[in-house]
Amino acid sequence: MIRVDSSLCLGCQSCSNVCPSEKIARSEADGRITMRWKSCNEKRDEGCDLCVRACPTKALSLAAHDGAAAECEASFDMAVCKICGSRYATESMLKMIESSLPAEIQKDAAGLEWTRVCLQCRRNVEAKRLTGQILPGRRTKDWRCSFLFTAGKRGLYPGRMRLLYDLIIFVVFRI
Amino acid sequence: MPIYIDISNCIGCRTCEAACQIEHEGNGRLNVHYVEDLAAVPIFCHQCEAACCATICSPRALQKDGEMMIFDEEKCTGCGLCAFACPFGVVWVDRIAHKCDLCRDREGGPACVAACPAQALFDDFDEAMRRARSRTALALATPGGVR
Repeated sequence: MIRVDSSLCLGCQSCSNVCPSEKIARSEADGRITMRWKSCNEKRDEGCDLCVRACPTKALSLAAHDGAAAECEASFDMAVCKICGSRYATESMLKMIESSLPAEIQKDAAGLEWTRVCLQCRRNVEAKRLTGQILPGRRTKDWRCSFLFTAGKRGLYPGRMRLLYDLIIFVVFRI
Repeated sequence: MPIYIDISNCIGCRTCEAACQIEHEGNGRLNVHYVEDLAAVPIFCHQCEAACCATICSPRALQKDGEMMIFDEEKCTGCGLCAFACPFGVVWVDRIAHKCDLCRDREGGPACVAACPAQALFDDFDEAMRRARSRTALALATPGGVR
Protein backbone atom coordinates (compact mmCIF):
# COMPACT_ATOMS: atom_id res chain seq x y z
CA MET A 1 0.00 0.00 0.00
CA ILE A 2 1.00 3.56 -0.53
CA ARG A 3 2.30 5.70 2.31
CA VAL A 4 2.24 9.44 1.83
CA ASP A 5 4.31 12.05 3.57
CA SER A 6 1.81 14.86 3.33
CA SER A 7 4.34 17.49 4.33
CA LEU A 8 6.30 16.72 1.16
CA CYS A 9 3.40 16.19 -1.23
CA LEU A 10 2.84 19.07 -3.64
CA GLY A 11 -0.57 18.11 -4.92
CA CYS A 12 0.74 17.78 -8.46
CA GLN A 13 -0.59 15.29 -10.99
CA SER A 14 2.38 12.93 -11.28
CA CYS A 15 1.16 9.95 -9.32
CA SER A 16 -2.44 10.12 -10.51
CA ASN A 17 -1.14 10.39 -14.08
CA VAL A 18 1.14 7.38 -14.01
CA CYS A 19 -0.92 4.95 -11.92
CA PRO A 20 -1.93 2.15 -14.30
CA SER A 21 -4.84 0.97 -12.14
CA GLU A 22 -6.17 4.48 -11.45
CA LYS A 23 -6.01 4.05 -7.69
CA ILE A 24 -5.00 7.66 -7.21
CA ALA A 25 -7.64 10.32 -7.71
CA ARG A 26 -7.05 14.05 -7.95
CA SER A 27 -10.05 16.32 -7.84
CA GLU A 28 -10.48 20.03 -7.86
CA ALA A 29 -13.35 21.75 -6.10
CA ASP A 30 -13.97 25.11 -4.42
CA GLY A 31 -10.41 26.27 -4.86
CA ARG A 32 -8.94 23.19 -3.19
CA ILE A 33 -7.26 20.16 -4.66
CA THR A 34 -7.98 16.85 -3.01
CA MET A 35 -5.76 13.83 -3.53
CA ARG A 36 -6.95 10.35 -2.62
CA TRP A 37 -4.64 7.36 -2.60
CA LYS A 38 -6.83 4.27 -2.48
CA SER A 39 -5.59 1.03 -1.02
CA CYS A 40 -3.32 -0.85 -3.34
CA ASN A 41 -1.77 -4.28 -3.05
CA GLU A 42 1.72 -3.50 -4.28
CA LYS A 43 4.54 -4.21 -1.86
CA ARG A 44 7.97 -2.74 -1.43
CA ASP A 45 10.67 -4.14 -3.76
CA GLU A 46 8.18 -6.05 -5.89
CA GLY A 47 5.44 -5.11 -8.29
CA CYS A 48 4.52 -1.68 -9.51
CA ASP A 49 6.20 1.37 -8.02
CA LEU A 50 5.52 3.87 -10.81
CA CYS A 51 3.99 6.47 -8.50
CA VAL A 52 6.92 6.28 -6.09
CA ARG A 53 9.40 6.83 -8.90
CA ALA A 54 7.34 9.59 -10.55
CA CYS A 55 6.92 11.71 -7.42
CA PRO A 56 9.03 14.87 -7.80
CA THR A 57 9.51 15.27 -4.04
CA LYS A 58 9.81 11.59 -3.01
CA ALA A 59 6.73 11.93 -0.83
CA LEU A 60 5.44 8.45 -1.59
CA SER A 61 6.68 5.11 -0.38
CA LEU A 62 5.35 1.59 -0.46
CA ALA A 63 4.72 -0.10 2.86
CA ALA A 64 3.53 -3.47 4.01
CA HIS A 65 -0.17 -3.99 4.55
CA ASP A 66 -1.13 -3.26 8.12
CA GLY A 67 -4.83 -2.85 7.57
CA ALA A 68 -5.05 0.28 9.69
CA ALA A 69 -5.19 3.15 7.24
CA ALA A 70 -5.78 1.72 3.82
CA GLU A 71 -6.55 5.06 2.23
CA CYS A 72 -4.69 8.32 2.45
CA GLU A 73 -6.11 11.69 1.68
CA ALA A 74 -4.65 15.14 1.46
CA SER A 75 -6.03 18.45 0.34
CA PHE A 76 -4.26 21.58 -0.79
CA ASP A 77 -5.08 25.25 -1.00
CA MET A 78 -4.80 26.76 -4.43
CA ALA A 79 -3.00 30.02 -4.99
CA VAL A 80 -4.92 33.01 -6.31
CA CYS A 81 -3.65 34.83 -9.39
CA LYS A 82 -2.54 38.35 -8.50
CA ILE A 83 -4.02 39.81 -11.67
CA CYS A 84 -7.22 37.99 -12.51
CA GLY A 85 -7.95 36.30 -9.19
CA SER A 86 -8.45 32.81 -10.60
CA ARG A 87 -7.11 29.78 -8.77
CA TYR A 88 -4.47 28.01 -10.80
CA ALA A 89 -1.93 25.96 -8.80
CA THR A 90 -1.39 24.62 -5.33
CA GLU A 91 0.51 26.81 -2.90
CA SER A 92 3.11 24.10 -2.29
CA MET A 93 3.85 23.71 -6.00
CA LEU A 94 4.58 27.43 -6.26
CA LYS A 95 6.76 27.32 -3.15
CA MET A 96 8.73 24.44 -4.64
CA ILE A 97 9.20 26.42 -7.88
CA GLU A 98 10.24 29.55 -5.98
CA SER A 99 12.79 27.65 -3.94
CA SER A 100 14.42 25.95 -6.91
CA LEU A 101 14.66 28.92 -9.27
CA PRO A 102 17.29 31.62 -8.72
CA ALA A 103 15.82 34.58 -6.82
CA GLU A 104 16.87 37.23 -9.32
CA ILE A 105 14.68 35.90 -12.11
CA GLN A 106 11.55 35.61 -10.01
CA LYS A 107 10.64 39.21 -10.65
CA ASP A 108 10.42 40.61 -14.15
CA ALA A 109 11.67 44.02 -15.21
CA ALA A 110 8.46 45.67 -14.02
CA GLY A 111 8.84 44.11 -10.56
CA LEU A 112 6.00 41.64 -11.05
CA GLU A 113 6.31 38.34 -9.22
CA TRP A 114 5.37 36.15 -12.15
CA THR A 115 5.18 32.94 -10.15
CA ARG A 116 2.09 34.35 -8.44
CA VAL A 117 0.33 35.07 -11.72
CA CYS A 118 -1.72 32.52 -13.66
CA LEU A 119 -0.59 31.25 -17.05
CA GLN A 120 -3.14 33.21 -19.07
CA CYS A 121 -2.14 36.45 -17.33
CA ARG A 122 1.56 35.70 -17.84
CA ARG A 123 0.94 35.55 -21.57
CA ASN A 124 -1.10 38.75 -21.43
CA VAL A 125 1.67 40.55 -19.55
CA GLU A 126 4.19 39.38 -22.11
CA ALA A 127 1.96 40.50 -25.00
CA LYS A 128 1.59 43.95 -23.44
CA ARG A 129 5.31 44.24 -22.83
CA LEU A 130 6.15 43.33 -26.43
CA THR A 131 3.54 45.73 -27.79
CA GLY A 132 4.97 48.55 -25.74
CA GLN A 133 8.46 47.76 -27.01
CA ILE A 134 7.78 47.51 -30.71
CA LEU A 135 4.93 49.93 -31.21
CA PRO A 136 5.61 52.80 -28.83
CA GLY A 137 2.54 54.92 -28.42
CA ARG A 138 0.67 53.71 -31.46
CA ARG A 139 -2.44 55.31 -30.07
CA THR A 140 -1.13 58.49 -28.50
CA LYS A 141 0.80 59.43 -31.62
CA ASP A 142 -2.12 58.65 -33.89
CA TRP A 143 -2.40 61.46 -36.46
CA ARG A 144 -6.17 61.41 -36.03
CA CYS A 145 -5.77 62.58 -32.45
CA SER A 146 -6.14 66.28 -32.99
CA PHE A 147 -7.65 68.91 -30.77
CA LEU A 148 -11.13 67.80 -31.82
CA PHE A 149 -10.88 64.05 -31.40
CA THR A 150 -9.42 61.68 -28.90
CA ALA A 151 -8.58 58.08 -29.70
CA GLY A 152 -9.93 55.57 -27.25
CA LYS A 153 -10.22 51.85 -26.81
CA ARG A 154 -12.73 51.41 -29.64
CA GLY A 155 -11.47 53.95 -32.16
CA LEU A 156 -12.11 57.66 -32.29
CA TYR A 157 -14.32 59.52 -29.87
CA PRO A 158 -15.72 62.95 -30.63
CA GLY A 159 -13.99 64.30 -27.57
CA ARG A 160 -13.82 68.08 -27.44
CA MET A 161 -15.67 68.45 -30.75
CA ARG A 162 -18.77 67.16 -29.00
CA LEU A 163 -18.43 69.72 -26.24
CA LEU A 164 -18.12 72.48 -28.85
CA TYR A 165 -21.28 71.30 -30.60
CA ASP A 166 -23.22 71.13 -27.39
CA LEU A 167 -22.12 74.61 -26.47
CA ILE A 168 -23.07 76.10 -29.86
CA ILE A 169 -26.48 74.44 -29.85
CA PHE A 170 -27.09 75.55 -26.28
CA VAL A 171 -26.18 79.16 -27.08
CA VAL A 172 -28.12 79.27 -30.38
CA PHE A 173 -31.28 77.95 -28.81
CA ARG A 174 -31.09 80.41 -25.94
CA ILE A 175 -31.06 83.30 -28.44
CA MET B 1 17.26 29.00 -33.14
CA PRO B 2 14.06 30.36 -31.64
CA ILE B 3 11.15 31.72 -33.65
CA TYR B 4 11.30 35.48 -34.11
CA ILE B 5 8.19 37.62 -34.22
CA ASP B 6 7.73 40.92 -35.99
CA ILE B 7 4.66 42.26 -34.24
CA SER B 8 4.25 45.19 -36.62
CA ASN B 9 3.57 42.65 -39.39
CA CYS B 10 1.22 40.43 -37.40
CA ILE B 11 -2.38 40.71 -38.59
CA GLY B 12 -3.82 38.57 -35.79
CA CYS B 13 -5.31 35.89 -38.03
CA ARG B 14 -4.29 33.02 -35.72
CA THR B 15 -3.14 30.90 -38.66
CA CYS B 16 -0.02 30.01 -36.66
CA GLU B 17 -2.20 28.67 -33.84
CA ALA B 18 -4.13 26.49 -36.26
CA ALA B 19 -0.96 25.27 -38.00
CA CYS B 20 0.54 24.34 -34.62
CA GLN B 21 -2.57 22.44 -33.58
CA ILE B 22 -2.65 20.50 -36.83
CA GLU B 23 1.04 19.68 -36.56
CA HIS B 24 0.74 18.51 -32.94
CA GLU B 25 -2.59 16.68 -33.09
CA GLY B 26 -4.71 19.25 -31.33
CA ASN B 27 -2.23 20.28 -28.66
CA GLY B 28 -1.21 23.75 -29.74
CA ARG B 29 1.87 25.26 -28.16
CA LEU B 30 1.30 28.91 -28.91
CA ASN B 31 -1.35 31.49 -28.37
CA VAL B 32 -2.19 34.76 -30.11
CA HIS B 33 -3.04 37.52 -27.67
CA TYR B 34 -4.69 40.80 -28.52
CA VAL B 35 -3.61 43.95 -26.73
CA GLU B 36 -6.73 46.14 -26.78
CA ASP B 37 -7.08 47.10 -30.43
CA LEU B 38 -3.46 48.02 -30.87
CA ALA B 39 -1.70 44.82 -31.74
CA ALA B 40 -1.89 41.07 -31.97
CA VAL B 41 1.01 39.22 -30.38
CA PRO B 42 1.65 35.52 -30.88
CA ILE B 43 3.20 34.28 -27.63
CA PHE B 44 5.89 31.67 -28.25
CA CYS B 45 8.32 29.59 -26.30
CA HIS B 46 11.48 31.69 -26.06
CA GLN B 47 13.81 28.65 -25.99
CA CYS B 48 15.40 30.28 -22.92
CA GLU B 49 19.11 30.02 -22.31
CA ALA B 50 18.69 29.07 -18.62
CA ALA B 51 15.29 27.48 -19.01
CA CYS B 52 13.14 27.45 -15.89
CA CYS B 53 11.08 24.51 -17.18
CA ALA B 54 14.24 22.40 -17.52
CA THR B 55 15.50 23.44 -14.08
CA ILE B 56 12.32 22.32 -12.35
CA CYS B 57 11.84 19.06 -14.26
CA SER B 58 12.80 16.32 -11.80
CA PRO B 59 12.64 13.31 -14.16
CA ARG B 60 14.79 15.30 -16.65
CA ALA B 61 12.24 14.97 -19.43
CA LEU B 62 12.95 18.52 -20.53
CA GLN B 63 16.57 19.17 -21.22
CA LYS B 64 18.56 21.84 -22.92
CA ASP B 65 20.65 20.55 -25.78
CA GLY B 66 22.68 23.25 -27.42
CA GLU B 67 20.24 25.87 -28.66
CA MET B 68 17.26 23.59 -28.54
CA MET B 69 15.08 22.11 -25.87
CA ILE B 70 14.70 18.36 -25.95
CA PHE B 71 11.53 16.84 -24.59
CA ASP B 72 11.41 13.15 -23.78
CA GLU B 73 7.80 11.99 -23.64
CA GLU B 74 8.80 8.70 -22.07
CA LYS B 75 10.23 10.38 -18.99
CA CYS B 76 7.49 12.98 -18.49
CA THR B 77 5.20 12.21 -15.55
CA GLY B 78 2.86 15.12 -16.21
CA CYS B 79 3.33 16.75 -12.80
CA GLY B 80 2.69 20.21 -14.24
CA LEU B 81 5.57 21.97 -12.48
CA CYS B 82 7.12 23.10 -15.77
CA ALA B 83 3.91 24.87 -16.77
CA PHE B 84 3.94 26.92 -13.58
CA ALA B 85 7.68 27.52 -13.76
CA CYS B 86 7.52 29.07 -17.23
CA PRO B 87 7.67 32.88 -16.95
CA PHE B 88 5.75 33.29 -20.19
CA GLY B 89 3.12 30.63 -19.64
CA VAL B 90 3.87 28.72 -22.83
CA VAL B 91 3.98 25.19 -21.47
CA TRP B 92 0.69 23.31 -21.38
CA VAL B 93 0.22 20.13 -19.39
CA ASP B 94 -2.41 17.52 -20.11
CA ARG B 95 -1.21 14.07 -19.00
CA ILE B 96 2.16 15.07 -20.45
CA ALA B 97 3.74 18.44 -21.08
CA HIS B 98 3.24 20.18 -24.40
CA LYS B 99 5.94 22.62 -25.26
CA CYS B 100 7.24 24.10 -28.50
CA ASP B 101 9.85 21.78 -30.01
CA LEU B 102 10.32 23.90 -33.16
CA CYS B 103 8.68 21.06 -35.12
CA ARG B 104 11.75 18.85 -34.91
CA ASP B 105 10.19 16.07 -36.98
CA ARG B 106 8.80 18.33 -39.67
CA GLU B 107 10.68 18.92 -42.87
CA GLY B 108 11.16 22.56 -43.79
CA GLY B 109 11.14 24.10 -40.33
CA PRO B 110 8.34 25.06 -37.95
CA ALA B 111 4.77 24.81 -39.24
CA CYS B 112 3.76 28.23 -37.86
CA VAL B 113 6.55 29.98 -39.77
CA ALA B 114 5.55 28.25 -43.00
CA ALA B 115 1.88 29.09 -42.45
CA CYS B 116 2.18 32.77 -41.51
CA PRO B 117 0.58 34.78 -44.34
CA ALA B 118 2.01 38.13 -43.20
CA GLN B 119 5.66 37.14 -42.81
CA ALA B 120 5.47 38.11 -39.15
CA LEU B 121 7.18 34.88 -38.05
CA PHE B 122 10.59 33.68 -39.12
CA ASP B 123 13.31 31.48 -37.74
CA ASP B 124 16.23 33.17 -39.43
CA PHE B 125 18.51 35.23 -37.18
CA ASP B 126 19.82 37.38 -40.06
CA GLU B 127 16.29 38.26 -41.09
CA ALA B 128 15.51 39.30 -37.50
CA MET B 129 18.59 41.51 -37.39
CA ARG B 130 17.80 43.05 -40.78
CA ARG B 131 14.29 43.97 -39.70
CA ALA B 132 15.45 45.37 -36.37
CA ARG B 133 18.02 47.54 -38.16
CA SER B 134 15.52 48.85 -40.68
CA ARG B 135 13.06 49.63 -37.90
CA THR B 136 15.68 51.61 -36.01
CA ALA B 137 16.75 53.40 -39.18
CA LEU B 138 13.15 54.34 -39.94
CA ALA B 139 12.68 55.67 -36.42
CA LEU B 140 15.82 57.80 -36.78
CA ALA B 141 14.84 59.12 -40.19
CA THR B 142 11.28 60.05 -39.28
CA PRO B 143 10.86 63.39 -37.53
CA GLY B 144 8.71 62.92 -34.47
CA GLY B 145 9.24 59.19 -34.33
CA VAL B 146 7.40 56.30 -35.96
CA ARG B 147 3.70 55.98 -35.57
